[in-house]
Amino acid sequence: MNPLHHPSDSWLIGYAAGSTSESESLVIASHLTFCSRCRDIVATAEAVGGVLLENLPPVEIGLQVPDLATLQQLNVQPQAALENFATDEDLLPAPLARYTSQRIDDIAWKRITKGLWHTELLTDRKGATARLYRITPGRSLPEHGHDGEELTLVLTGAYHDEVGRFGQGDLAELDHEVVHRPVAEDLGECIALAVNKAPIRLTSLVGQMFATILH
Amino acid sequence: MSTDLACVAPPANVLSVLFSHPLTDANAFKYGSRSKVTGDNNPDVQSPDMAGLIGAVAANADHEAFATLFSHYAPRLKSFLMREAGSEAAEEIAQEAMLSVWRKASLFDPTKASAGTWIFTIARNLRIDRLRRESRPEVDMTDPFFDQDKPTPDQNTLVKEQQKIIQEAVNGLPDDQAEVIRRAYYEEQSHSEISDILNIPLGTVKSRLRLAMGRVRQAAETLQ
Repeated sequence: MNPLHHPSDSWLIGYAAGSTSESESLVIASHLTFCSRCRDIVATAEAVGGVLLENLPPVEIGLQVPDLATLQQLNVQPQAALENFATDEDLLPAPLARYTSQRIDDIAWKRITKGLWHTELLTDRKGATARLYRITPGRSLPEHGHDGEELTLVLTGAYHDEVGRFGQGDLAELDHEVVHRPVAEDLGECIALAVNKAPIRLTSLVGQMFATILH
Repeated sequence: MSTDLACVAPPANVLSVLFSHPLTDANAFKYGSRSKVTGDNNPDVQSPDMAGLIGAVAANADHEAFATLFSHYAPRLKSFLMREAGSEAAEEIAQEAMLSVWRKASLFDPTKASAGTWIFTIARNLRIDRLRRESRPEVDMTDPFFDQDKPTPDQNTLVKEQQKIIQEAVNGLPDDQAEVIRRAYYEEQSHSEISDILNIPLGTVKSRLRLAMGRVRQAAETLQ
């Protein structure tokens, strides 16, 4: 799997530096699950963090090195155990499964309109909300714009809009200038994770119900 | 060739250089092969070898090795954490980070990251957890979706060289790029916060970060 659409470097740096908020980190970690290219960039950005830590002038500390007896009382971290994952195809990436369920079918979907469901996962301390959308093949979302930045990751299926075509693992980075009308392709249901801070801005009256439900 | 390997038994790191494959640009930094095989016989005599000390903690619960790591990193971790927390809280979290180094030493992989990089990620995660009180979603390598990395050749020396080159690249960044990098890592500011604080367009912040990262990656790729 090689996603074609990636978050910009500034998002990957923010993730490595620890400055992205929880919802933003969630969508980026989920993309990284699919994308070795971006994992390499994050690894380099973490190495920059290592350099910056080494570069800091040491400050005086009132700490003593803990003695061996104290250290020996700590539980040593075992090697990460392999979880017994099912092999079905209807799974979510692990970072995401922790916020809902491992299986797509077990998610408590709320219907917005015919062929369109959503579920809210979290709103973090910066007010960024992470939501999953589920769209029936051939259905579309009403045309809309965004007042802030939005990151959308395709988990299953694919959609296309004015910006391009997005398949599994692709991350769409939208800013306030983009107005789009995503249409799910016929590959099967399209499930996508979207993170944004501001409510979407509808460009027509068609989606009033959509807007009412979301805010 | 394979049947004779056991008799000839060249060091594994020489083998990995001989058998390294051409690499894509995207993976070149992480998996790049070395051009100088001789480097393998002359490991960097940087002293003390922090990665080796973490290895000694993992293998032998070596308290002396831990004490050396502690006296090097604890004051720097406090310095790092004091940008977000008061002196006392910074010390507490620095202490906790060092206890994690002891507990998790067996999870440290010197072929993937330098000691400083690994300890940075521990402190970063503690900062998010303790100061921000948020979770940090991370990739799970046991995830069935996980697009596996290719097996890596021996990279101990490579990681050290990379760290040195990345250090030079970071220290040589132009002021405007260095500032956004400092704010992202030390002050934990997002690109939109940097844009607000410095009163410059978001696109400018993003392009400065991209340029800074481009320089670092380009420098790191010269190692191949």
